This record gives sequence, C-alpha cells and structure tokens, in this order.
Amino acid sequence: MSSESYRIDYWDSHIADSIIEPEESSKGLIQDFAEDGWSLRSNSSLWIIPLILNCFGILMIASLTSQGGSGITSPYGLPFKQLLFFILGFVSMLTICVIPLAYFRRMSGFFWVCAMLLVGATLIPGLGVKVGGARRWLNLGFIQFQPLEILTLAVTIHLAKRLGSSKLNGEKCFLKVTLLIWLFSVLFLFFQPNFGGIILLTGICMSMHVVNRGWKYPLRAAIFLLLFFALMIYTENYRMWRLWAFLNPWDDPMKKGFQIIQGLVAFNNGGVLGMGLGKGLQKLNYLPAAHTDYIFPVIGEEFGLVGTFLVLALYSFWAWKCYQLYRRSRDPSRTALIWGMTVSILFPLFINLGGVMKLLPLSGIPLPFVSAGGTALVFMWVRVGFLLRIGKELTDVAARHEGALDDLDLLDDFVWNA
Amino acid sequence: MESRRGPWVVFVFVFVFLAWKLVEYHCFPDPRVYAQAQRQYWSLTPIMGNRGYIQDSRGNTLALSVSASSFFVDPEHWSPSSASSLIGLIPENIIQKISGPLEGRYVRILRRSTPELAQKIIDLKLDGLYEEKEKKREYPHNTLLAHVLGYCDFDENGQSGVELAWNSTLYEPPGHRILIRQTGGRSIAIGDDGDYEKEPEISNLTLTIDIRIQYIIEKYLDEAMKLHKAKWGAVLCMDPKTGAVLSMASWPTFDPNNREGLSYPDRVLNNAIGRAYEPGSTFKPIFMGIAIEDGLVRTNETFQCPARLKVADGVITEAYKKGMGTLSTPEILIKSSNVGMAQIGIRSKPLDMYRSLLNWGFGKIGDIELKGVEKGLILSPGQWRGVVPANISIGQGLAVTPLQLIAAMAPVVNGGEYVSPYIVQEARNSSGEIVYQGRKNTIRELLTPETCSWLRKAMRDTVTSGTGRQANTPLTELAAKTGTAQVAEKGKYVAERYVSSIVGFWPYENPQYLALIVIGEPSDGKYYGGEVAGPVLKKIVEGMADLEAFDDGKRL
Repeated sequence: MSSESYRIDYWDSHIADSIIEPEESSKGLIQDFAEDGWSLRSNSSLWIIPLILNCFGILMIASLTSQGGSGITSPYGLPFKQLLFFILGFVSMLTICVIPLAYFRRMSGFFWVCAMLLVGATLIPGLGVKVGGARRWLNLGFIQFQPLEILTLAVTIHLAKRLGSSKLNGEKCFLKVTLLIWLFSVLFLFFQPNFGGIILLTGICMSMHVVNRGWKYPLRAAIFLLLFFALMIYTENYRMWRLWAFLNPWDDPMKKGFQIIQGLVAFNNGGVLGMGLGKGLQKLNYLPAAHTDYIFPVIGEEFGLVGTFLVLALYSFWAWKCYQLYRRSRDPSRTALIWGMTVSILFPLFINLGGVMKLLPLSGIPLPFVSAGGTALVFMWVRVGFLLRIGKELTDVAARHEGALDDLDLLDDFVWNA
Repeated sequence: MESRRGPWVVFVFVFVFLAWKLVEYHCFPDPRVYAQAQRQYWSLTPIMGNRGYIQDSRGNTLALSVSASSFFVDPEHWSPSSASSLIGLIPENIIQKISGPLEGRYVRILRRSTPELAQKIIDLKLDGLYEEKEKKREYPHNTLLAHVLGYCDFDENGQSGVELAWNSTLYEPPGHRILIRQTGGRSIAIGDDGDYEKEPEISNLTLTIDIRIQYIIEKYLDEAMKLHKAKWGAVLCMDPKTGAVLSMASWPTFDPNNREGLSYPDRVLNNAIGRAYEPGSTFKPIFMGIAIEDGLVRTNETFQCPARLKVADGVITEAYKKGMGTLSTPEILIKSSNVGMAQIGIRSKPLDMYRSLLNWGFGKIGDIELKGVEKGLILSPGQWRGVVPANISIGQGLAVTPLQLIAAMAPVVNGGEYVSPYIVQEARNSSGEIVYQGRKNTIRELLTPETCSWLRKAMRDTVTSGTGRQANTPLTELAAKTGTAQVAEKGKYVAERYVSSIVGFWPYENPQYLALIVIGEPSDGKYYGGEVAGPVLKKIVEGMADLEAFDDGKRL
C-alpha cells in the first residue's frame, strides 16, 4: 500500500485532485463493476428502503387516482408519471454512485453559485413560472422544476466541504462559513417567496454546523432566526392564515381548518387495520392534495395504524442505517455531508408528517419518495446516490487498509490527521 | 466530536413522538374528528319505493312511476359564485337565492327534473351540489280516466281514486340506501351489486276499465257538456252480467300530471260515485220492478193519467205538462208518465219499499274498490208521508249516485241478479302474487226473469217509440230509459235546474253493455233527458259498435 492510496480517500480536493491518476481511477471504476456493480450490495438498506417507499407511493397514487379525485383526468396518468420519475431518479442515483466524491467536492462552489443563479432565474418573468402568487418554478420548455431542489443539494455539498476544510474556529467559523453560505442561499428565496424552502435550508445549514462544530452558535442564532421567522409569518397574510388554521382548525372546520381536519379524519377512518387498498373515502374530494402533501393520511386511512407504523418504521430504519454510515466516517467534512444528505431527506419528512398530523403548520412539502412529485423525487434519489457513494468510498478505504490497520476508526482518524 | 451523536438522538425522539401521535390519531381520535367522520359522507338516503303501475283490462298502462332527479345544495360546501353556471337550467329566482348566503345544510333547487336536464346539471360537477333520486308518477293518458285513477302526492302516496283506495298494494315504502357523498352532485351507492338501476318486480293493478271505451265516452261526454253548458256530468258503462265497470267518467275533469288542477275540488270530485242526485225517471223501471215483484201492480193494468194529480199534500205533474189519457202499465214507462207512476207509488208500503230500496243498493255505500263513494239518501220509512211515496216512484225525493243507479239497473238487464259492481280485475303485490281478483259477485236475486224481460221490453219500446227516440240507432238494438229530474234547493224544486239522464243497455236480445249518462244542470234551454242525454248515448253506442267492428275478435 503506497502513501498515495491513503490520499485518494483523503477528501480534500486540493490534495486528492493532484494525486488521483487517470488510469488508476478508471481501473477502479471497472473493478467496482466487477466486484459490486455500483456498490449496491454493500449498503443495500440505504437504497432498498427508499425503493420500497417509492413503489408503495406509486401504488397509493394509483389507488388515489383510480377513483378520479379532484383535478385528475386520466386514471393512470399520475402513477405512470411517478414511475417515470422514479426510473429517472434511480438512474441518477446509479450515476452519482460511479462519480468520485472528489469531483463534487472540487466543483461544489461552482455548483452552488449555479444553483443560486437558477433560483434567481425564477424571478425573471418568462423563465420563472408563477404558481399561486409565488415564483418557484423554472420553465425550460421541456421540463419544469424547482431550482430549490438543486440549491438544497449544492448547499449541502458546499457547506460540508467548507466546514471540513475551514481552519476558522468558534464564532468566526459560524459567521464566515455557515451563516454566510446560508444567507446567500436563502437570498433569492425571499423574493420568490418560498418560506418553506427557507426553513428547510436553515434547518440543514444549522444542523450541519451543529454536527461539525457544536450547538453553541446555532442555538444563539436560533433565537434571532425564530424572531425573524415570526416576523415573516406576521407580515404575510397566508402564513398567518395557515398558522391560525393550525392552531384553531375547529373554529372553521369547513374552510380554514378543512384540510387539517380531513387529514385527521383519514387517520380515524383507518383505525388499526385500515379500510383496505382503494377503499378510502377521504380521497373523494375530501382531502385536497391527497396524492402529494396528504398522501400519508391516505395511507393511514387505507392501511390503518399498521400501514403508517410500517412507513414510519421504514424511515426510521433508513435513518438508522444513515447513522451507521455516519458512525463509520471519521472525516468531519464527509461526516457533515452524510448528515446533510440524511437531514435533507428527514427534514422534509418531519415537516410533512408534522403538517398532516397537526403538529406543525402546513407547508406544502411532499413526503420523500412517496408523494407524487417529479424533480423532487429525482433529487431524493440523487441524495441516496451520494450516501451510497460515500458508503462505497468508506468501504474502499477500509479494504485498502485492511492489511495495515484493522481498526477503521483509527484509520480514518489517521487519514484525517495526515 | 462530542456532538456527533447528539443530533441523531433528536431524531429518535421525533420518531417516537410521531409514532405515539399516530397511535392517538388512529385509535383514540378527538371526538370532534370522530363526529366529523361519522357524518360527512355516510348518508342514509331514503329511496323512493317503486310504486306499482296501473293498467286497463287490455294491458294499457294508465299510471306508472318513473325516475326523476331532484337537486339540492349544501350551503357548507356550496360556493354562491357557482350559481351563475346554473343559469338556464333552474328557475331564475332560485339562482338568485343560491347566489347569496344560505343557512342550514339543505336547500332544494330543483324537484323532479327530466333526465336530460339532470345529466346537464350533474355534468357541471359543482361542489356542494347534490342529486337525489326520486320517483315521479306519470299518467300517460293525461285527463283520461283521471277520476278513477286519482293522483299521488310528492311522496308517492295515493291521494284519491284507485291510487288512494289501493295505496296499500301499490305503495312501496321507501327503502334506505347508504351513499358515499361526493362533491359535485355525485354519490356512490354501496352495499348493492351495482345493477340497482334494473327495475325490480313491481306491484300492479289491472282495472276492468277498457281505455278505448273510456276514450269514447269521455269524448262524447265532453262534447255534450260543452254543447249544453252543463255544470257536471258522469258516464258509467258496465257489463250488466258481471258488474265489471268498463268505463267511468266524470266532468269537469283534471290532469293528474298537472298539480295546479288539483286545487279545484269540483274538478277532482268523481261525480260517478261521489255525487248524489235525484235520478228522476231513470228510477222508474227500478221502482216498477219492485212494484211488480211485490204485487203492487199488474203488467196488464191501465191508469188514467191527467196532467196533474193531487197526492195528499202535494201535486204530481207530467213532465210535458199535459195529460196522457189512459195508459197501460208498460206505457207508463215508455212515455214516462209521472202521474201513472205516482198512482203505483202510493200503493207501496213505506217499510217494505224502503227495505226493497236498500236491497237494491240505494242509501248505502256499495263495495266497489274505490274511495270517495257517496251513499246517497233515502228518507227513513217514518218520513214516507203524503206525497213522498209518489215522489220516490218517479225518482224524486231520494238521492242516488250514478253508480248506485247503474248497479240497480243491472238486475233489470241481466235477469234479476244484483251483482256488486267492481273496477279492479286483478291486483298483484311486488312479489308477483295475486292479492285480489275482481269477479262477478251476486248479492241477491231481485227480479224474476219474467219481470225482467217485461221491463226490458218496455225500455226497448221507450227507444223505438217513447221518450228515448233520440238515442235510437240503427247499428244495434238499444233499450233505454230517459230521466229528467228537478233539482231541489232548500227543500223546494227550482225551475231551470234539471238533471238530464239516460240509462240504456244493448244489444236488446243479449245485453252486453249497460250505460248511464247523467248531465247535471244543462243551461242552454234543453233539459229533457231524451233531448240532452239521449244523443250522447246514441253516439257512445255507435262509437262502441265501430270499436267492435274493428276489434280483433277479442271481447272488449
């Protein structure tokens, strides 16, 4: 084992780039295919669980739309569309799996800036599509997507790199790295406006700082951020409206509280065992957005507590597998990246579940892997791809140093401190 | 690296909390959520039963129930701005009403629409607009036989006529269907196999009525009523041998399909069974029959008949105000001599005659299967003093319904049997079982065949040479007796108010039909029974003869 091979795993781009030799990386790729095509075998739970959830989602969407709920014209249009995006997402995941992380690491700044520009482009009339008073979508003629999806991904990668490589400490690190990246990232979102996106990015950025540098500064910032969010809610009517509906749904059960109450009614209808696939009643125009935001109550209605528990268990098991991956990593930058990828799936999950379970105000964020949604689904799979790639590279490091050092943690520490 | 594990622990708490909330929402929901779930889509909707249909003796449908959609809006789901899309489909004032704020959960906007209109409204798929399936009673022949059929209320309950009398057979109680309510007027029925649109076996009633005869008599009755500007009229036609009512008409009439006509009681009243009048001379053959059977008069007697005859406290006058000289017993009937009849009348013993009249079906409600039957009026024997027996002999001073009169005329025609008139041939319940069958019901023998044939001969002669000449027709041998009765008002007979009638049967040798035509209070100057009612009978007889000529051989 040569010293170069240590450095391949060494994440920091300025070293890795100079060391990776073209023939060796291509040889590695071929070996990868031979040993474990796309390394799908080693961390199988990380992609099998989303696969189960995604298939289940397609099933639920088919169940929902077969009865002809609100605004659905062809009975199997939506599930086929979902299947298409799933295939697209899965291919994207496989693609990410074969690209060395070092590449993304090197390009992270560029990607981040591009993503921000794309978000900015939504504000340009003609490119940006206005839906319900907000410009969140970008229309490129052949496809419509929310650039926020790209931005969330780019911020995660870029912040992980910056946090890992920054020599700054304490307050300076928080202000100059985390807060600065956060501020630029959310800048255009204010003008869209996309409050949900801001909350999501804030959560990802702050929690990444926590895992990398501790609770101290993010907690202090949280006080200001909360005040700031309160102001944002207060100044915007529909946000107040949603907050009010969340706090007092029963004051106006037919209008403002309708959606929240109907979600709870769906859980109630399901009971323990559920009403059976396709037999739910709530989708008959009672639940708005049943196939997107409100798919979880629909699962609750048709499969009962058993169904919702299973879905929740799948997510938590998946989170546990992410945690195992996280525990294996000693590189702070990579650790932050694992965390970032995990939370950018788990935060939307919690925000969605919190919304439909009347624990948080509604935000319009879909349930990862399950809800119908085009690009959002693809980017969820891209995140899985990153986690798999990290897992593979961790395994590679372990394999290459098996002869020299048995203890993985020690090895990783060694690499980090080299 | 002390915070490496910390954030993950937060996830553990979040997952556990979510799981705990899931248990709560699934198994121990908020009572308000539970209540909401209980009421919002399960609606136990009453569905109209399938009311049985009514057909005539030849199987022509006379009344049936068809599906009709009604619509209502639920103000809690309804947005008033949607009202504009209903313009042209529902009345303007309703549109205005539902364009504004509404209260409650149920505002009806349209009742019993046509299927085409209903489909248009459903296709709009408006939120908060719901459809109700109802039934609508339809009478395809409109005014034809309206009085016999009667009509139903909105809930398909019979209100008059056969619909009322046979409501227990025809009425199908509303069932319940559990519906899943969807917005946009659509509902999904559950708990059935989906083919609930298929018509199940339904009850039905077959009348003895022949709609073709009914058409003929209604046509000529209407013509006569208009010609003579009469106030009311009735025509009955029955089979004298069995008592089956072949047609029954009343005037003025109404259309059971049109609810507005139902608010006039005089139109809805079935004069044929529900109006008692003084029969006048058409009563004479009956009285004569009783008198002959009781031995009060011999068929070969002669009577002196001046224009006026003083009887106790009253005077009997001839209808044509002139004396008829010496009349034989048959001539009294043929020429309809009041004075002659009065002389027979005063021979009667009040109690015996009263009993006989009851036996002949007068003064009591017969057992015809209809509602709204009047019983008429006969003075009790104690009141039969002075001129009363004489008056009764000429058909004044007692009130009978047209149905009673025709039923009492049947023994004269059929050989002496009093047969109970019936109008329902067969009733089947919704299981297809026959629950009732109308058949000849002989109550008692009233006349000997000799008396009958003697009376029939007198009536035949009335047509050929007596007061009924205007009814005479070359197409068949008709026998008849005319009647011109005065109408009493506050105990006194009033001039210019008459009831003209004629009762006849044909063919003379083998009577198939017995018909009674009553025209109440004609006001065009003519009032003699032979003059007013006679031509109507002639037309009816001829019309029915045409019918027989073109019949396919079956009995009418």
